Amino acid sequence: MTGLLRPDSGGIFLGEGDDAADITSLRPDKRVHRGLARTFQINTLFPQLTPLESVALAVLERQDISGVWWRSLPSYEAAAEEAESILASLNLKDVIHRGTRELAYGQQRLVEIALALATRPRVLLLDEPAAGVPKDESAELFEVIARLSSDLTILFIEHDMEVVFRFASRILVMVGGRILVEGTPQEISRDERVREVYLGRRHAA
Amino acid sequence: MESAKDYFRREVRWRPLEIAFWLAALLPFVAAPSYLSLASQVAITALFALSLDLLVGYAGLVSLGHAAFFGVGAYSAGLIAKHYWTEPISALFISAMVSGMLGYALSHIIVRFRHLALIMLTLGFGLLVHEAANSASALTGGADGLQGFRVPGVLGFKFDMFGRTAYAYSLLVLFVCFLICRRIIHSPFGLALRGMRENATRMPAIGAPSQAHLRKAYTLSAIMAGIAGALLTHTTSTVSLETLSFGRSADVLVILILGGAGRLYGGILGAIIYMVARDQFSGVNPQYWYFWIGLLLVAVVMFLPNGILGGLAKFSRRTSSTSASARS
Repeated sequence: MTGLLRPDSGGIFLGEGDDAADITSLRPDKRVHRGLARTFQINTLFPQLTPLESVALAVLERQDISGVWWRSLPSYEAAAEEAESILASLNLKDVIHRGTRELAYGQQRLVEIALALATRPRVLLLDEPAAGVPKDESAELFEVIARLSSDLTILFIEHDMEVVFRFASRILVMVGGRILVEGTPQEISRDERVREVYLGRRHAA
Repeated sequence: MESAKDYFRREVRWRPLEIAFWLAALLPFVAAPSYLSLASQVAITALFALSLDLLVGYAGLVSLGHAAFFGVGAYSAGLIAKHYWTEPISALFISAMVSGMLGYALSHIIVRFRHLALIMLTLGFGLLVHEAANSASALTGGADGLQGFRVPGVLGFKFDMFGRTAYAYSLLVLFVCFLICRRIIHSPFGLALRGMRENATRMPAIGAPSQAHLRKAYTLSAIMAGIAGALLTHTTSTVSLETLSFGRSADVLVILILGGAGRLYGGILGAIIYMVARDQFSGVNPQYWYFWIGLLLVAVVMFLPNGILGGLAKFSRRTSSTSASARS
């Protein structure tokens, strides 16, 4: 969906109604500029940059000024301040100047989200946002995600059914790379096939 | 907590040590006038290392064929002086453009590869250019090099036998190129290059045109390397095939690693140490001086993985933090 793998069939459209644009053949970075951002299941960050530098870089990429080599960074105050406020909105205000690799794992997961937000996405793809985060910390993480602007469509991949049913408005269950069923949480929880694949095991145990 | 804009402002500010360093670069004029020609060799090598630092230290690309750009710059300047005119500043610009165009052309292939393939590819291109110059002897003089021209002076100053003008010229060009490099690394593009170095996978996911970034870095680096080559031609009034050799590509990488890649001053410091060591050791024993360079390289890589400058920075951080904790 983000353009790293070529689809076997079908197309990817971004937008609503007649505005929907076919982005199936676009390069990953072009898709980001169209408003499709993603996070990674395994932290894919800039270890030696600070969170501030990383997010400022994402802001500058969005504004298409990352190719400018003849003006220095302090000329772009607005980008720096935007990066700062994105990090602050994710409870990272105190660590913006630390090295990214020195941060706690949960904080690094938040930097993942901050980087994606800096691209001002219309659709945000979260690939197991809480992967590897202890249960109690993941609650905080999902609080933050739930607070994100409501005009943002979030598509998240998650195995924790509790989380899925708490946050999702539409659910798409996939098995072996194919769509098993699609619907609202109520429909999904009533669906026999889903029970069998996901919920069934737990109920049987 | 320091605000974001204050942080970026502080990053670009000149440090006292930097100013002291550039003032010290003037010392050879008064303190060691007999070493002025060595000093201009150092300045030229430093500029070459600085150009490689953009790639190795900032963009995270490795190159084993960087002499191709140095040599193309050197030959361009030589050919201009021999067949057209001997005014060096305009020749410097043209040579920079020629090697920049070569860099831009090659960058389209090079940025598609990483790791071992990238090393082999740059090595291969380096050998190709070297052999092309070797066989085109009608143009380049082949193995004898390009001779029979003399650049009399620059901006009205004659090149003197002590190398006073040559060093002033080399140092000035080095300083101007350094200012440009410093601006580059503190620009949005410089930040993007560090992003490429830190995580090339993530860059497209934040909307970065990775290959365009790398092409630009490669071209800028080739331009700077070409300027260094042209400087050598102007200050020595000869071009040898050695300017394109694999040895020169390897040496400049060693110089950069010794000094510390990704720190702007690393290549300059490396060039000073390397060139002075070569001058001293080859005086003691002309055949085996590489032994000492080898020993130095092994020691630095084992004990100072970030180069001599990286080691010094760590040491100064440690002493300043212990003195800070002693105060509190």
